Amino acid sequence: MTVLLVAAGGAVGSVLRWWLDRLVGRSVGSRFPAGIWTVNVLGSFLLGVLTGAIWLGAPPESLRLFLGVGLCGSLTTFSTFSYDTIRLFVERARMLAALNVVGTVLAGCTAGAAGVLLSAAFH
Amino acid sequence: MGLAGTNRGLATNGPCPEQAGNARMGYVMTETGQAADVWHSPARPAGGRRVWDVALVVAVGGALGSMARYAMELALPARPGEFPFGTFLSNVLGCLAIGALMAVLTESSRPHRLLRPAVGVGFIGGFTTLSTYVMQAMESGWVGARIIALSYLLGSLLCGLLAVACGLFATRRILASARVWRVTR
Repeated sequence: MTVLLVAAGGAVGSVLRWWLDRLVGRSVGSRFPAGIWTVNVLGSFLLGVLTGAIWLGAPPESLRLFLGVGLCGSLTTFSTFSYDTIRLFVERARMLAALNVVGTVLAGCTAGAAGVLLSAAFH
Repeated sequence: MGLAGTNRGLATNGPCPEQAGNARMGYVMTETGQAADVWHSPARPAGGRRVWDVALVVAVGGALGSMARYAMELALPARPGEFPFGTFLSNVLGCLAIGALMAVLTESSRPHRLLRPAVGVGFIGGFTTLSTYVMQAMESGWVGARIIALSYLLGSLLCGLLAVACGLFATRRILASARVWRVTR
């Protein structure tokens, strides 16, 4: 049963990533992969909120599997992020490649920490 | 041998004018001599082309990829303060796979329009994760395992980027030699 919760969250998360990536990518229209950056930061923030809630209280394990492992895990992606970085590097947009790595990891960590703090504040 | 076989660079034919500002690599020459954007085309229907099937294969791929990642986490469990080998391996393997997939997509003259949404966006996208990666690194840091946190953070980045490059260029090599083999026979 538990694996079906992960699958359901994963399906929702990946469609959400696909849709948001197109939406943001279209409206920003820059070489920087803004769509993937956005979903990665958003997913890290949501997982931070969930992690904070897990530490403080005890939401059911099913919520962790659906939202944490499934939805947030699938909403964010490491493969496209790495691929975009290599693509920018090979296309000689070295500054953008470096910005993508530093910007994604820093913003992801900040968003995750902000999520944990938000959870703590509302507890 | 198709025109795609002459591609050497990553964006050899340059982005389509209307997408110049939002170019991802992955343009191939179609048989009509037009640059086809294999990265975006399935997700960007032109002339009322349907997208529901794209969303469906993304969902199915994402579900399967997430289950595979969950299996890796169960097989190699890690508490905060321990090196999360399960997620690390998922991410590095996913990077290797996306490199290989994009080489196949850019080298083939007519890739199936659902190949990238199903395998790239869906399965590999769902198999790899950034949110779990940053949270695991921070949790390790917060419990005092700074070395683990830092080595996980930097190790995943380095291995992931190397894996993309390896997957991309190794697959391109293999496809090129297979083409030469076919031609010389």
